[in-house]
Amino acid sequence: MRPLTLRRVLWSCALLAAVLLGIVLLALRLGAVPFSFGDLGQNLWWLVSGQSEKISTDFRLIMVDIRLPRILLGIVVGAALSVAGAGFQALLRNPLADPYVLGVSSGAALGAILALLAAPALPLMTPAAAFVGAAATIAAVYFLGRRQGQLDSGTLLLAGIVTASFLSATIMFLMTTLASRDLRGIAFWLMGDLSVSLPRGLLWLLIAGFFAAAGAILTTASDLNVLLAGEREAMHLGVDVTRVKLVVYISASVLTGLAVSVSGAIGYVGLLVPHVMRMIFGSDYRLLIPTSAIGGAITIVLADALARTVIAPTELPVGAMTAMAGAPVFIYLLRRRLA
Amino acid sequence: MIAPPVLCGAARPQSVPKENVTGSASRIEVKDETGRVIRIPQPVRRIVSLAPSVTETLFALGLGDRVVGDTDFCDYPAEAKQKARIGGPVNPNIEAVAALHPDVVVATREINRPESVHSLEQLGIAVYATDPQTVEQVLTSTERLGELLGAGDAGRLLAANLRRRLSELDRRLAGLPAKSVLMVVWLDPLISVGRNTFLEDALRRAGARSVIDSPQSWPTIDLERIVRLQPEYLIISNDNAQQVQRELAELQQRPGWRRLDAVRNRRFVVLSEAISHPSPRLVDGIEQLARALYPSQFAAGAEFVGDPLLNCRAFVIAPASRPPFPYTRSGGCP
Repeated sequence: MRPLTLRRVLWSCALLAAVLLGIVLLALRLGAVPFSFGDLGQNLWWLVSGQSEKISTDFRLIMVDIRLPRILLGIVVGAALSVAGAGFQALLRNPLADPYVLGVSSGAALGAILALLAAPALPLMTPAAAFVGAAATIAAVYFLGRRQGQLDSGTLLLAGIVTASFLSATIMFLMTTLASRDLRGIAFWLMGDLSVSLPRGLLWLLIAGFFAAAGAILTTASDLNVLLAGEREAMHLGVDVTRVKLVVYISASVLTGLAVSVSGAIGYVGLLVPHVMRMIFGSDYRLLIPTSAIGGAITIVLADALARTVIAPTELPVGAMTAMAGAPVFIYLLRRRLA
Repeated sequence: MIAPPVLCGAARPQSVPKENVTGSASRIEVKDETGRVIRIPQPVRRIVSLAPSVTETLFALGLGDRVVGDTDFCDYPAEAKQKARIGGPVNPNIEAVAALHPDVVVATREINRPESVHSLEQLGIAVYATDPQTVEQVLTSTERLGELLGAGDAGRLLAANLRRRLSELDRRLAGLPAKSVLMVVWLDPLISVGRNTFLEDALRRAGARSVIDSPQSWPTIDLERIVRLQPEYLIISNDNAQQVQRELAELQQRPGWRRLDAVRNRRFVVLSEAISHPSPRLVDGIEQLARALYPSQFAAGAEFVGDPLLNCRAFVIAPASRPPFPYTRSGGCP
């Protein structure tokens, strides 16, 4: 394996960022209301050059108020889920781990359901309650998943899976017994949905939370590389295994909780993107974390652009799109690598 | 120059004139049926509907011309299909709605999601949500919508007319014992209707009593319970005659269902979809059902109580004594 240099990290990220920029421009262009690239460029120029008085009302309404925030949300959610997935895969030393494996999304869904039942008319109740549900699940799984005072991958995984199925069962129970009209949207929520527009403040909060938690995982990246060889070996090499595992567990869970509470459980991104990035860029976590973040953003923005346009104006759930388009790509890369 | 036809499928801003958007045009502050306080600009020229029942109501109020967009499922009246589409009621495309520059969006709590309402509100679009849970509330809701959207007289006239038809129905059915029925909202799994829904109230007004008494609005029912309760009639509301025939033929073969007296004796009442929408057409559905259950009360020569202005489709019913398909057609518009 080639030694990892900062130069290589930066070049890889720049390459992916360029792809992301292209995808974002495409996503801005696509939608129920068509704009030409010329229109788009002209208005975007006015927007960034401070001549916002020239921007047409339609552009302001559709682009600035709806499409752009949605794309931004997609970028943050995709990045958060992918970094969380990469983190959980290292923490649990299991290639099947994804952000939802420890029940964070089920806890968030339960919180959202309770909020919808209690106060369907309060706009920010659902994301807030979903985050509380996610946090409660993170704490519960943490205490269930310890062995001799520290997190043990096997115990954590089992505790998480059982918690997740218990919470899912509770959700099914509530949905069938209550059959409240206000729960109709939950099916969409469970598949992942980026269509809900959030207040600007919440979006900035989300971005700040992402950088804090993803940054925390990144600081443990070289320790994670060692940890992958085995806990005992890492300990002999001077890695504070207990601390690293705790940081990764909490940060990855918080990333998942943030993403899920605003956009529901968008599937497959957190599982597939880290694997795809490993196949392309290798498995060094110092490179894997940033490339997964950008790769996840690319995946969600592209999937959402397709979900919005394939049968426009009807929208598909973005979660269905990520799985449908993501699975074949993954299989292709997997087989090619084996060939 | 000829204006290009409005494209179906893609929501595009239409050329209906609109007042300056930002100006301090007069707005009225009202509380909608879910208790939210909203400000509706006056006069209302551009309306987007988020549900089929809302679209029907708007057209019944004579506001069809002001509807600039509706959902993929709005198919009644036929003109509703020509409007710009904004996606489904549960997953409306917010962009498409905003691009239509509606003065007001009308939603219904029955099928729309609160998230959609919030998203539109964020964009400064007024969203009025209806929430009728009885037949009477369907009428008052219709009247109120008429009032708010500039069709007050039409709304009052419409509601008065529908109330007259309902009281005429009451008069004809007075003193008759209610017939026990199972309303089949969905077959697999079996979903029927519970307390506090417009549909349960509609059944009652047609002289039917649902054998299901559930606090849930749309309860999933165990077949064993139905076999024990033995409803006199099965009621199905579906405009697709072939599908209904297929389903009913299949029901007679199914274990469990075979044992229902109503299935053995072919006491099925097949209604148009009028009865499943909380819109003014609901009264058509109630009349159809009453005629099917109590044909003698609507014998030949009896004056027709229906309103020719509103749609009223023929219903089909298999009389108990007749051999199977095809069904005889009876009732409906004169």
